[in-house]
Amino acid sequence: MFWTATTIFLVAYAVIISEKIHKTKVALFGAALTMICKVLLQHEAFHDIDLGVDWNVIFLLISMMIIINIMTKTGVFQYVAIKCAKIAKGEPFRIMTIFAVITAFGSAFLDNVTTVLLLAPVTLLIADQLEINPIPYLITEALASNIGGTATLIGDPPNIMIASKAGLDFMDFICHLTPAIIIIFIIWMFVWKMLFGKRLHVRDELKKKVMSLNENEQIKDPLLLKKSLFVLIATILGFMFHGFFHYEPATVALMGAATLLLISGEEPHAILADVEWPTIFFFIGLFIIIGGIVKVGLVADMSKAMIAITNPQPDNMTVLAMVMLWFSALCSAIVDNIPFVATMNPLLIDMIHKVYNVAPGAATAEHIQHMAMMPVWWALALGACLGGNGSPIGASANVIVVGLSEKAGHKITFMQFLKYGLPVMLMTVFLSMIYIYVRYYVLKW
Amino acid sequence: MDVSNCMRTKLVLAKPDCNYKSLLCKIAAPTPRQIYVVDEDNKLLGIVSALDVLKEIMPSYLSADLARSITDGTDFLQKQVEKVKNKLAKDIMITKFVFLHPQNQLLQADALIVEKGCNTLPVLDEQGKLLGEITRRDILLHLVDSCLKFNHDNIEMVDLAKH
Repeated sequence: MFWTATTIFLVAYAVIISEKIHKTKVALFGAALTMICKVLLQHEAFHDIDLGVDWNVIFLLISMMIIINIMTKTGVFQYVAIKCAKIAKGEPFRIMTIFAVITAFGSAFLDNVTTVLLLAPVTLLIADQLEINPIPYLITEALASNIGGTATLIGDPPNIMIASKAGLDFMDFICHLTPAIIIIFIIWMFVWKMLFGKRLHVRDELKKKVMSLNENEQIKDPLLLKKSLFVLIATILGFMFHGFFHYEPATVALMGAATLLLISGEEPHAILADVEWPTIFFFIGLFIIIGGIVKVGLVADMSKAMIAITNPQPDNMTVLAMVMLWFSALCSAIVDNIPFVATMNPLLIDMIHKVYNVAPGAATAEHIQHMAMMPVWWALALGACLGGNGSPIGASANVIVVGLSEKAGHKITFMQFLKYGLPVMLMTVFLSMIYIYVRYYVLKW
Repeated sequence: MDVSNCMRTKLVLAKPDCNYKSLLCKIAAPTPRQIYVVDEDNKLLGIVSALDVLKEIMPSYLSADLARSITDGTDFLQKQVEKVKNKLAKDIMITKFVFLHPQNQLLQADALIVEKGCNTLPVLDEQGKLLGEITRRDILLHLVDSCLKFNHDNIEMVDLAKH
């Protein structure tokens, strides 16, 4: 069984990385093999909390997708983008900064891909009006979406997975990751100011063209907008207090999605058809494949190796946190961060059992959320999310931006993206390292 | 009835190196729905439809919703035309097209137009030389005038601008 599960895991990951076959097909086939070979029984795959599908993650993703699908129909994102370009008075660098802020903020609460998909067309239009190259703007938005998505529990799938596995709530992420992201974002914008501030200039008559755009035309359904905003705000408030009321995040998100579906008047068929089912099934397949390698003991072996390298102590895991941060970032720059985090989560849980010397499956929140362990979870989240900026294939938002730009006649080469993305990735991960070290090991907050 | 009996033979042609502005003028001429790109021997190389000409000046990012925010549409379109003015017919034309032969039955033309959802089909000889075209309207006219022999009413065109 050990070699069966290990082979399924290795082959599936190799094929996913090669991108020869769609990752959802690979994950589902791997999951089916895991079950047909009886590495994992159906009951374990579907119902076991430690080995099977994490339904908290699945329903949180589906529910947020439903809310976003309805919200996108209102045109609010395009309205905000055009309004902000006018507030910037058509100044190119100001527009770049404001768009980066909007993207980061949007990505913190919504899906990264959706945020860039909505903003990129407006960016291309404004660049067209200003007669400037849109590529630096589009890459900035992709980078901002990955940085912004790191800030909250719902901002990026790795955070959703980490939160579910480690039992962390929305406010934990707000308290620990949001400040890091705000600092990183501000420093990044200062660097961008030095790089682009003096280079971007346009004639006044072109700025007038941006000022003549009518943002009000973008709001397609004001009533639906009011309903969507009400539900989104209520859902975010729900996330903030879900720990207090002892609800899982998926329960809060499902309440929001169901309410909006009920009051929006939209046909459920169309809204549900727009849910990214390939992503959902990719998660389901991955959870089952990982469940297989957890059950047969491969993850336990990997955790032994990790312990040997980083030597974590029950009250101090500094080396582990730093290794985790850089290892996650480098891996996420090359491969999808979702399968990476899906593997690291059970590995860390297994490691907790060994470090705190508890029987398998007996670790409680006291161990998983131990003061020494928390920086490791945050390092994993920061590394996995920020690492996505390291290459054009490091995150879905990057792939989307490169595709949209090429379609609009502005090809972004691999090296061109790397020129922006890699230094930003290294800088943000380095800043994260300082943040983790200072906050958890010097100031001990 | 054969296609050759009701096909149109007065067509708008272009050479592969015909530039965008010329294509625009040709498509703007009365009646043509598409421009046929032919070589020296009138062998059909490709087709440029009115939609193809419009698509070239429409940026891929511009949805109908986003276009509503542009207050000076004329200026925007002029700028887009300037951007694509150096494109040639061979860059824009579609090279995969369905066609008919003159000896094909009109029923076959009707079936093909319905099946493909297109409006106009070129008629070629065995060597691929362009002989004419047949449109939905030609088939309908033939149906009304020849097959069904309706006594249709006089149809008056209404000028809505005068109401």
